[in-house]
Amino acid sequence: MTSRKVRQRRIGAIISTAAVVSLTAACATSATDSAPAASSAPAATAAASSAASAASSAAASGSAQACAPGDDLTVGLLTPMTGFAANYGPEAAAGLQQALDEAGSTAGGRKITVITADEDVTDPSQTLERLKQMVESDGADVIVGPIFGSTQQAVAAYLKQQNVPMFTMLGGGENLAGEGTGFLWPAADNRTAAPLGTYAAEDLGYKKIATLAPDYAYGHDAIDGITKAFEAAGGTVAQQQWVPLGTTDMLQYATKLDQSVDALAMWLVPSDAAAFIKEYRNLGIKVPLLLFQGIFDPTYQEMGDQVQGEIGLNEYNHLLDNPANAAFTEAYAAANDGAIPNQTTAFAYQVGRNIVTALDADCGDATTQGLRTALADLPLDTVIGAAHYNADGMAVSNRVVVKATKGADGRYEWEPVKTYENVG
Amino acid sequence: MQVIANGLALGAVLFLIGSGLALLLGAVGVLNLAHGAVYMAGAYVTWTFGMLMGWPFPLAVGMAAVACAVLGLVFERLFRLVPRSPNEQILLSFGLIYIMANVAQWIWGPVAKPPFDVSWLAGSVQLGVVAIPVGRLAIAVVGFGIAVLLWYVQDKTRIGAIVRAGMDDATMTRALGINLNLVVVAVFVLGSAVAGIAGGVGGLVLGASSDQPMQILLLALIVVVVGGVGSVSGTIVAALLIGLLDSVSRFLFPDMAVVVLYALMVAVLVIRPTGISGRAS
Repeated sequence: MTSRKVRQRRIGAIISTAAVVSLTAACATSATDSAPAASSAPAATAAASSAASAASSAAASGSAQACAPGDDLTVGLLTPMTGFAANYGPEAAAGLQQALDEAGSTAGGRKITVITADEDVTDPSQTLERLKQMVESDGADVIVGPIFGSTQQAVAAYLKQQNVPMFTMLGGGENLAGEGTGFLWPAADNRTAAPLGTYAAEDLGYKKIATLAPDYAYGHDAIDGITKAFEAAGGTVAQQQWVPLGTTDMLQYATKLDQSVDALAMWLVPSDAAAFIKEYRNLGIKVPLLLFQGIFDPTYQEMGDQVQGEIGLNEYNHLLDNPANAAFTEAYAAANDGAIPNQTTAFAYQVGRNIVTALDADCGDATTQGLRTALADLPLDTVIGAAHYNADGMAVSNRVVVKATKGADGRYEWEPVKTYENVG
Repeated sequence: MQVIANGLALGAVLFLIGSGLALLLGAVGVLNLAHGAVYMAGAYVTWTFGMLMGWPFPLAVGMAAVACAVLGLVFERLFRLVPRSPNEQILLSFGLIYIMANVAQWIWGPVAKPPFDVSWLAGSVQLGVVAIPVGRLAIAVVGFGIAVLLWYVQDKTRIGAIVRAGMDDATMTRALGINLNLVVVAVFVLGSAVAGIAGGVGGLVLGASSDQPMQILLLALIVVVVGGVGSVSGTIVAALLIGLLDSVSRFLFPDMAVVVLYALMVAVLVIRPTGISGRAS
């Protein structure tokens, strides 16, 4: 009997220890759910070097002056390369490399080299250490990344202290720009989704919407952008649901939806969005969806049937009809067996070009102030059309309202419907 | 009513997740924290056969059960290296979690697979004012089937009697000429197969992803802590209770809902460390 009692106690103790350990780990993991626009196409593998010449005609729009040769410049790419978000690293690296190859890895008279560090999405403090090493030991002058909002916030103070510019490629909190050293592409998080609200009210004539998003900064920022624009256009927001971190079951959010609304505006990471929409369809709910970001590949290719005809809002879309995007997608396809670039690759490419343009304009001054001055209101010819950074380092660029369709080849697409200019 | 139905539906998923772990811990005293990794393997194998290759869904789940049973066999060998040492078992488990999560990323890519789309399990059943998705019913049916099977094996068969005897006094059981090692292997294989089935069927709601080992482990641990080990009925009660509590708390005070589960776990640990129906001493 005694031994059994001891054993029971021991099991209790083991379980408690294990629970605490895994709880800690899971908390760390769930913090990483704060992904911004989680793009997700098959990992782009190699750098698109051979494509350089093909797209060079569409290279930086800034007029390259003749600058005296300067010191070498190091760009530090800080993106996840391991863990569940490991796809971002190679995707971003491919885009950035393509941009630099087009520029001959030189800008403003300085030769550019790229170094990389792994953004540990479960541990921002670890990422900060790696960033410090990149800046202090390896001499990174400019940072591209990080991807995740939690990491961006964790490294912002250090970068400000070191006065090292941070070029985000998938948005970022407004506080990173201005006083911080951030250059936010394609816009600050709280402005990027606004056109979806405007379109819902003005073009679709919706009067009342509900919203659904994760309960962390990016979710709130994106939805706030939509609801403010919707209310400004005369609409009302009837219901807002926020999904806590670590939620695995989406059924309750579908059943709790106020079905008297005209539409549900939502943003969730692709796998959660797919889980939610599955329950939504199972329950036969007919309320139209307004999907900020649409749903990214490859998730979209697996569940595209369930959202046919729904409306979304894209930051990047490979079908965008402009010369810079045509040149970029063509060169990317040529270097990657005809693959279609996703948002991460496209925006890493664009940010690379923005940096080259700025350095060409200011003859290689890579300080935050130098780049801010060089880029402020400088017209950029980008993969999403005409854009510029404002004096605070926040990009102002185009959004495109899209509709979920299926192409003749069986591929699901987000077909551009209407463009909103100068968002941000 | 809908809230309660949601809770029961979640409870069915939780039971499937928790039962394998409870069985292993209760019957052979091995704390296999890599249980969630086995679940993930089940989900991916089901996805590969059911979604990618288009096999009938039940057959794909069957393949997952077989694959995970084999995995269980391998795991048993590994855990045999660290008998009766919980710290080493935890370390070994975590090592396995990292290895398996990375192998899964390597094979299936880092992007999560969406919930499995099985046409005959789509839609929902309307019961009065309550709508229950068919997929959830399927999960509940499978969960119930497994519960009955486990209960029967554990309580009504000679094998179950040996397992229970081994739990209470391993030395005496061995002295009676019973090969306990074989029993341990059998339980490992059965527990892993159950995890595989859970991964496959649970995929109807949760899909498959490489961060499942941690996610699922946490849910499984809560179920085991609340339900206690070594008793199928305890696991069922705990799973349903947690499902209901989660659903109701999300309805009544959504901001606090995440805390409620952990509060329940802490309360159980403080008041009744052996769980709701853990075998009392």
